[in-house]
Amino acid sequence: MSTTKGTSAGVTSDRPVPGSTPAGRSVLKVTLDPGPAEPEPTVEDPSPDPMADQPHETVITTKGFSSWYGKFQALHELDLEIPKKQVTALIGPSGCGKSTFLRWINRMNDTISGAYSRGEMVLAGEDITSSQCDVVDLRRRVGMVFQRPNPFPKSIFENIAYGARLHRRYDRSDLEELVEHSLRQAAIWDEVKDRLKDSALGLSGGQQQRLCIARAIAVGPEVLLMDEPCSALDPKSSAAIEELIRGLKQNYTIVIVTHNMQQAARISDRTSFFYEGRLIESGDTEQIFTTPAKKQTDDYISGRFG
Amino acid sequence: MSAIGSRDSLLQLTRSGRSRSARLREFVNRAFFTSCLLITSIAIIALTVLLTTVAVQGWDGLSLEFLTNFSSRNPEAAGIKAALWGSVWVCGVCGLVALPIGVGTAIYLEEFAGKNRLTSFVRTNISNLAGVPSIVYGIIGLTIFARMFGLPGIGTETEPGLTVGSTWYDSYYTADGGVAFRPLESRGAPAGAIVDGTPLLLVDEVDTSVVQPRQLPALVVADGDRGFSVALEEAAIPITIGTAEEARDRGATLAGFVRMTESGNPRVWDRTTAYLTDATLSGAVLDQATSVEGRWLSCEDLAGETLFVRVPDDRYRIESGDRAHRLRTVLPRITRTQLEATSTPERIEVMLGEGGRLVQGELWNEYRVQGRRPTRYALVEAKAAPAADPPPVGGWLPVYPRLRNEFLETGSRTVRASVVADDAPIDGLPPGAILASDAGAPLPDQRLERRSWYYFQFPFGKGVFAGGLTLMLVILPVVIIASVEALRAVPNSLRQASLAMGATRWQTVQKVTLPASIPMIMTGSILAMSRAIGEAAPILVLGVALFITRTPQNLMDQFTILPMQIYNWAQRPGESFQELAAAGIIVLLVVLLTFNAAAILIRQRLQSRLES
Ligand SMILES: Nc1ncnc2c1ncn2[C@@H]1O[C@H](COP(=O)(O)OP(=O)(O)OP(=O)(O)O)[C@@H](O)[C@H]1O
Ligand SMILES: [Mg+2]
Repeated sequence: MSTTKGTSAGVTSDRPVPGSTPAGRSVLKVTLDPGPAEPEPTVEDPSPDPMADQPHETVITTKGFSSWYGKFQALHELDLEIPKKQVTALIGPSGCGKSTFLRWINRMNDTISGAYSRGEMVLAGEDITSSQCDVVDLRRRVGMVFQRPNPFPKSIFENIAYGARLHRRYDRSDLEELVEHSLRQAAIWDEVKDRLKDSALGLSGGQQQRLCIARAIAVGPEVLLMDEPCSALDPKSSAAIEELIRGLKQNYTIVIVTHNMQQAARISDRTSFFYEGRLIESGDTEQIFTTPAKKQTDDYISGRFG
Repeated sequence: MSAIGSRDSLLQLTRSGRSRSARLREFVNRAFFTSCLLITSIAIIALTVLLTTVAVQGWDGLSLEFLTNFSSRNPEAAGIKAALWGSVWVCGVCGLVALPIGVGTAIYLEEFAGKNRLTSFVRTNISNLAGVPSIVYGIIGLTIFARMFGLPGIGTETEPGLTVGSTWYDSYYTADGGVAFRPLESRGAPAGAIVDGTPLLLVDEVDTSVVQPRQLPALVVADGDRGFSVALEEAAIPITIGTAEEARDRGATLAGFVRMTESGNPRVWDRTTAYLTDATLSGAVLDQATSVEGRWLSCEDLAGETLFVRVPDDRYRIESGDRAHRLRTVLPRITRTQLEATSTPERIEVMLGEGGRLVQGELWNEYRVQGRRPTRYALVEAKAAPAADPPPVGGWLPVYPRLRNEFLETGSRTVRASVVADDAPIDGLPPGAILASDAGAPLPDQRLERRSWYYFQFPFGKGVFAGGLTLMLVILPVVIIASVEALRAVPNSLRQASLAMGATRWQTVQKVTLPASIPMIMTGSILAMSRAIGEAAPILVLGVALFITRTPQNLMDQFTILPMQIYNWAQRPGESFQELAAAGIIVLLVVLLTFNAAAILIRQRLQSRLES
């Protein structure tokens, strides 16, 4: 218990800020290439056990990050690191700023007038809050899956191909391959392979959500943001998505917001607890759920408030 | 247990309350239903009565001729073609301009513009503009498009400052008294001196209201050496159509009706307006070209060929081909009384130079009423004449194979003319030479302006383009509002999904928002277009000509539209004009219905494509 007391602060302290070292940068550059078709056997996850103390590279680092909607401050001085190729769960009561934080990572808050931020948020060495940051490229590198499945009213094929075609031209065969690969990664290929030409709106909610995940994957992101991806789904579909997330972890860094404690415990490697716009505690999932450092965290995960 | 008990007692209470308030409630409900039904049926009955009246009144007037004829002072011959095509042109311009601008504005307002004070001000104002009376837009259209504020250098409607695609012709007298036209460098070039040149024969004084929009029969006008058009000689009339071989094959044909005009030049009339006339060719004037007196009219034989018939006052003789001809003269403008008066059998003389052999025949007149117009048929029995008869003096005349029907401006009016086609030049005549026109006044001394289909001028004047733009003003707010609503109806989650994948705003609009909202945009726009078709007030303010007897030839051309034509007829006295108006209303309704049906079809197509 006492060892983990300082974890929330200590997470940042014992690791260099990625990007500040050229080495960290070059390693990350490798992952910029569109996702490899198969789970890479070479880049083996060094820690099948999340509790293991091996350090992970950090993909996203925030320092003193605050954000506002007009006069309302939604986030207060966040210091958080998100490790590479791990699942980070953001938990916290409603309105505590989880989605806000998530939307800053791919700058979706740009679409909200009056939203602005202060402080640092660094993705692979690049400050993504700056106005110089290429938002279009950032969003390509940081995919997002929304709470409600939102497929386009197009065919399943077109849905997947959409994102890829935004950024470059593809041959038909390449595109077909990409679509199949993405759908396979999202574990939905077998269900839809015979109806690629049909409208995506004809799929069930769970299938639609997996389609949205496949759609996000098809752009070749490094990071996948998921904002309560299972909240509109039945337990079976949720289980399918969870399984999927576990598989995706090998290739992608995943940040997931969830209100389901069991889910967070099941799928995430690290967990961050938000409360009223502040980061209360952040650490390895097992530690957070078994020996939380803060009483608020304990109360929240044991269901005493929130 | 106790909760269930209290619920039961509550239900009891509701049941007991039913006796009064519930009965009243039911009554109110019923009364409202009945009154709604009543109001609706009144509306439906009124509409039915109206439509039935229109249908009954207009049914007789509806015919193919009604659609293919131009407006006329004579209700029997009047048609709606000019207005129909005018509407098509104007609404085409209106739609082609309004849709991109409207949808573009909507996209900007909804997808790009931030929600600040200025944009909300613009939004409110667009909604307000939709309520502005259309007559106001007429005034705006007149000032902006027709006159362009009268800015210096822009010119006026009649004297445009800049024109593209127009050629000016200057008339001059040929050595033998004919009138010819030749192209000018510019409108302002000095008038040409009288020179000998390509001879031209002009058709004159035709009431344009009855001129049919068809190719004038080729007017054969030249007697090579002397450079004049018609060789009018006692012995023979060397006027025909076709090459010599052709003419021999199908029987020689002659076109036109020659009579004297004030200027002393013989003019050839178009067949459709030919009728017996008292005018004679006086020997004195014709000395230059001919020396015969007589009356002339054109006829059609049974094969539909036009013959040129001379009716001398003293002799009744038919000279024709070597087979019998039944000749028919179409008298479009003859009235029933005139018909009675002139129905005495008459013998006329037909002179054909067929193979150089003249034939004679006897003639009976026969009158028949066909369609809307009384038609006079002249039955001609022709007998073969002795083969030894002398050939016509002039011999075979050249054929003008390609004559284009064109409308020429004479400053104040538009005249119709046959023009030599560019790709089929005629010996001695440059392409584009004007062969014949039907100006309402003697054409010499006038300058003609020939406008190509791409003719364009500044300011736009009162043409199709200005009309379309004015209507565009009327429907633009409606299109914008409809499009904004359509874009707003697209769920925001789709935009977010697209943006989150790194799409730019334009990519999102182009690939997600617009396709999803197109069906609704189409519906709104087509409803707006229906309004444009039925709109008369702004066009009335624009002050376009009311009496138009041709379809628009270019974007700057004059036009009339269906509602204006209907209004024009409706305000005239007389049963027959009311009938025309009713028939016009039916046509307008059919056009509107077609339009709406198309809208529904397109919408369904797109919708099913999006959803499947
Ligand atoms: N567009 C916005 N404009 C103004 N305030 C906003 C906006 N979006 C969120 N907020 C406010 O910011 C705070 C954080 O919102 P956020 O959506 O991040 O919460 P959350 O943690 O995702 O909640 P939930 O779990 O319910 O989704 C809330 O108080 C919310 O009211
Ligand atoms: Mg949220």
